[in-house]
Amino acid sequence: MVHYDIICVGGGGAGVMAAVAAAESGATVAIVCKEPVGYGNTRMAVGLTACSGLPGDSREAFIDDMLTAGAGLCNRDLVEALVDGAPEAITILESCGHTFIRDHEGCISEKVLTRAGGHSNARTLLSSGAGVGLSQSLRAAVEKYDISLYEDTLVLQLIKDGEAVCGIQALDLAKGEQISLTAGAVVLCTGGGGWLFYPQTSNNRTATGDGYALAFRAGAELADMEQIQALPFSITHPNAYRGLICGEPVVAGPAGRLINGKGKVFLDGNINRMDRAAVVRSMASEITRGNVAEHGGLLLDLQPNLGDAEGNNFRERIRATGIFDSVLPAYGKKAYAWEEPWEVLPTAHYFMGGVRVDKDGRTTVPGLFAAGEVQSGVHGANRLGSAALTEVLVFGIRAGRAAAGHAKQNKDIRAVQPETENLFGRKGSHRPITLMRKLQAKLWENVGLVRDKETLAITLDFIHKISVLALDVSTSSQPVYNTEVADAIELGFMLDTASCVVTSALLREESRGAHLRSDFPVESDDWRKNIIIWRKEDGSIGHRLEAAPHE
Amino acid sequence: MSKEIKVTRYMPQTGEHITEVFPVPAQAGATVLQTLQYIYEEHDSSLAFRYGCRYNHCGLCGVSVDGKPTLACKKRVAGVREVAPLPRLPLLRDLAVDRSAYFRQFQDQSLYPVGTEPQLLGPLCEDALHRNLMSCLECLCCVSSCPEYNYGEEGFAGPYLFIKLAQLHLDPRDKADRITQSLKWGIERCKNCKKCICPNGIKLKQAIQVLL
Repeated sequence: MVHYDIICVGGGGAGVMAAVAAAESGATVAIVCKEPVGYGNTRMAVGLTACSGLPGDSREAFIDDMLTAGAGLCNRDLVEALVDGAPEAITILESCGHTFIRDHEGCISEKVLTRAGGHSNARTLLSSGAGVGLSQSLRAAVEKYDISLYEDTLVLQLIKDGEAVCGIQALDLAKGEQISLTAGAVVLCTGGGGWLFYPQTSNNRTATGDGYALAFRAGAELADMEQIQALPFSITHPNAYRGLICGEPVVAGPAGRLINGKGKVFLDGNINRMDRAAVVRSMASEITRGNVAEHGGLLLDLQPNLGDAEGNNFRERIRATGIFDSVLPAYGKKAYAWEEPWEVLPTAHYFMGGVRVDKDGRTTVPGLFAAGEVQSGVHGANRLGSAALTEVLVFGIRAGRAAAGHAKQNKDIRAVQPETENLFGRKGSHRPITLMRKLQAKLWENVGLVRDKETLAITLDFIHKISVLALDVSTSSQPVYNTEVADAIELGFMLDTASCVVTSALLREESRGAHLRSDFPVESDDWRKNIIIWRKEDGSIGHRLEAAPHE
Repeated sequence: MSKEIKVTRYMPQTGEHITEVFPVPAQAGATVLQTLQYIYEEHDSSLAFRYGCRYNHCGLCGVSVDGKPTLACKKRVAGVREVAPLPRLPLLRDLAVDRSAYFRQFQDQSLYPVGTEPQLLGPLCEDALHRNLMSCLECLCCVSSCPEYNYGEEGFAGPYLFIKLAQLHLDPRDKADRITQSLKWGIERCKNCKKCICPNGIKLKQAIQVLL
């Protein structure tokens, strides 16, 4: 088996930064990613990146903002690491060709900084070329640091030597061949699981929760899997664009209003001062009462912002970020000019919970690290806008460095070549894509916005039923780029991830942050705790509650 | 309401292209991507095609629609007769481009700023054209529409590399000689051509002009 000191699973911001940091520490590194490198959700990001140490801001204010938004579930160590690590991460990214937008004098000033929703100060940088510009520099980073690449390669499982992770087994989709690689340490940088809610998600199709499932199956602990952030504003129609992002609170500006299907204004002004969870809560309350517009959404009216030069400038500045690009094809020119209201619905956006790690990305399994959206602990129950790109960069670097250190201490790898299962030409009764679509529809309906005990229990049964059907799937026998085989594998990851999400959502008998329970509508001090889950020997899910560390 | 659409599929075993016809719904506002998803979900899930973001943020779903390279997520399916893989590029199967093989050609071209020390958010005057090129989705439609380019032929890189080199040439942080580099990759063949197209209006011709 080919050996690398470090294998990074995933080729977005966290994966590439982990690889760069490990390579700088002298490790041999490979990135294994199921799309080409520089894809995934990093590429789709608006490119807003929070930075610390800027004039007029303070370390404490940044930390406090994150802890406040996180509603008692953040790990303070991780929050501090994010804030302290941002400048270095941003410098590394720019050294690979990315450009954060400067003012006309070529400087970072208040003219180019944005105060994103929930932040008390303007500390958010804009990216030239948005997430795409940022991702171009990720490919450049791979070249600069001479990192080996396995693209179009889907990781099937982690290989273990006793308790420790020491490699991966993967499917090279381009060739249809299974490969095994050994490593001193594996860093999971697989992103989140927004695709569990397709089409009601802002996410890229790759966000199928692979890392949660891989870590869970390898015995790692996960935390707060019920905390899934919805972005308040997404497209409702036509179907081609359903769920795609068209805004976050800051887009509403000082004067934007939200109107229900009966024409009643239920949020008027200052939406841009609210955090995402607060806006979503308010919208969910209208939606559950059935006060919806034609396509099941609510109306966001941005016109009150216009009329003077300041308002028009604001629109142009927000437009330049590309965050509401999707409005043009979906709703037309007048809507794109903010002259007509948009019908909007919250959309699944970001998993705050995930693999439990320390500030250097160490999971509870030796040799296994995790960084980026796949990890937990940074955002608690609610993520601030523009903190995710900072997270993926900072924790990618930290985990890459720590993994390289671990690999140096663990040179003696005794990996057993895993058995290969035939994935092609299966003759079962169900098509993977059909099962996946059924699962996704049910998850949005039952777990998407507002949850309750009975519906969650029904959903858990449903997941078990689909899991049984998923053992009996058909796949074509085409060896080259067989996405049906990929669907079958990803369906498995999605099912495990969904079980973790729903189990945690059942356990948390309160409403906190992004987790809304109609049967427990208020936040309870007794629940100021992380829900930690793991896979027990018999395959069932074990759990315990722990006060968030150093909160 | 339904219509028929032709899908041309690349067969890696034989190197041939075959064309199949699928009935698809003629839904108002439907995109080519949505139609490919429909074929995949309802008719034939062996159909290989790439997509990522569903609207113009990733560049993975480039295909040739009625002979013109474009993004399947942006193109409305009304009036469309045929979808085929992007010509002139390495292919995996059906509509899927072998993007790794394409990018591997340039992996030793130092496509990052060379020659300056990194500095935290240091002074940087970004050229407007640089900003425009940073939005390049790397969908490869420009390369696919280039009459001079064919994957595997030596001596000419095609527009994608020139866009990257122009971007670096315009970057004050980069001290490498990108003009000589672009000459080595045959940029003089771009003179007086101007036939490459970008579905997002990236300023290809201006960028190439910067290097010529």
